[in-house]
This record gives sequence, C-alpha cells and structure tokens, in this order.
Amino acid sequence: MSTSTFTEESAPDGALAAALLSAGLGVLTLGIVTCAAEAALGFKDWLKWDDTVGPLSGKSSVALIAWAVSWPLFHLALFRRDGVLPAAAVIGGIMIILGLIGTFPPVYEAFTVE
Amino acid sequence: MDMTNREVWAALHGMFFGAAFLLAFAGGLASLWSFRQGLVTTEGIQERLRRLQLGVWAMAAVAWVTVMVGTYIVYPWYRAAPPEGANLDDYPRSLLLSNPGTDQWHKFAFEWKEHIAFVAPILATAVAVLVTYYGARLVTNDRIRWTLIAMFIGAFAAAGVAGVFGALVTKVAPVQ
Repeated sequence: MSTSTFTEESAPDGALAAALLSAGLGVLTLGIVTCAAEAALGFKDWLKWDDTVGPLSGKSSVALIAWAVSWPLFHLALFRRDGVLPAAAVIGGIMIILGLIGTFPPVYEAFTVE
Repeated sequence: MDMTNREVWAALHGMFFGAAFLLAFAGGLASLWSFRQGLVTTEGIQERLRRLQLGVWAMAAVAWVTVMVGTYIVYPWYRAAPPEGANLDDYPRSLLLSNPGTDQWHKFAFEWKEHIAFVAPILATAVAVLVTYYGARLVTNDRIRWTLIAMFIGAFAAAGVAGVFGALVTKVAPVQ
C-alpha cells in the first residue's frame, strides 16, 4: 500500500503543552530550591529528608513533587485545546533554562551564606 | 578481579544503567525522527509504534533507575564524612576537597552533575507518556513529533553532562 494514503488525524497539542509546562515547572523548582538552600541554612537543613543523602534528597523530591502534581493539573486544563504549543514551548523552555541556571554551581554559590 | 560492594553499585550506576541510557539514545532518536509520512507504511505503523513505545519507556525506566541508584545508594558513600584519622581514599568527597588542585572536581563537576541528572528522567518520562498518548497520530503531526525530539535531546544532554562528569570524578576519586 502506498504511504500516501495516510489521513490527517486530529491531535490537539494541549497534552504536549501540559507536559512541557510541568517539566519546566519541575526543573525551575529544582533551580529555585537549590539557590534557596544556599541562601538559608535552616531551609537547607529542612531539605535533609534523608540523612545519608543530605539536602539533595529534599531538593530533588520537592522538584519531582512539583512536576508530578502539576502535570495532571496542566493536562486536565489543556488536553482538549489545540494551538497552545507555541506559547507552552516558550514558557516551558524559559522555565527549564532558568532552572538549569539555578542548578549551575557558580550561580547558586553566589547565594551561599556562611 | 575483585570488586567491592560499593564498586559494583558504582559500576551498575554509571557503566550499566547510565551507559545504557546514553547508548540507547541514538536508536530512540532515529525511531522518533523516522516515524513520519513517507518513511512508514500503513502496515508498518503499528509494529514501529510498539517498538518506539517499548524503547522510550525502557529509556525512561533506565533513567529513573540510574538516578535513584546514584542518589540513594552510591552518593551516600561518596559524601560520607570521614572519622578522625581515616584514610581519605575511602571518602571521595573529602579526598577531593582536601586538595586545592582537586576541589573543583567536587565543587563544580559533582555538584552540577548531582542536580542536572534529575532533568533526564523528567524529560524522558514526558516523552514516553506522550509517545503513548499520541501514538500513530505522531506520523502526521510533525510539530508534535519535533517537539518530542527536542525533549528527547534535552534528556540526553542532561544525562550526558551527568555521565561525563560522573565518569571524570570517578577517575579522580572513585567510590571504593
């Protein structure tokens, strides 16, 4: 059969937009929490959810919770919608970049208090 | 040829699970890239889709196993505080920080690796869920497919940074 017989199936891009936004929120949360942990020693101590792992256990868990909780919420809000991908890609992309910047050691060490 | 328990876990983390994710990336990328009109037949879609779904879910699972084994099994041995007078060879973080010539291996390389690694399973899982959600509709929706490819590359890049720095730090101060 010829490959030219494909029919264009409707695929609203809202589900993809929701996944992008939640991933962005998760990574941004990781960046913010990483910087905040350097700026506030009490918060850094609170992040020691596992004593052997230290603050990384709390930082990563908070970020993963933000990602996992926000994804279904974004999905429910957007999955029927179409044409939202460009805006979500920009917003999600910016959140991911900012989150990555926040986890870059020379950046978060600028917030370190002795 | 003996390996300690710690060395076995460190090898599983980096050389088995982590390397598997990085090596599988090319196959996953090729599958996603070619899952489009003109390169798949109507008969071939279902077979290709099953293979693609299996591949991206396996990669997501491997990404989670790599990160969790690294964080909760190997990392505690890396960061453990040495008792007074201990041989620092058994305490990699302290060994690196004890020498101004090696402290950046921890302060920059390891610190960045331990954070950025979590981006890989997040993006890889998103790709796996979305490949399953959109299924055969990916063939005719290039914008969605290309966005998934970008996310997949993002997962690989994060895993690549974590993997390269992990390997380099292990070369300087191995968990043993």
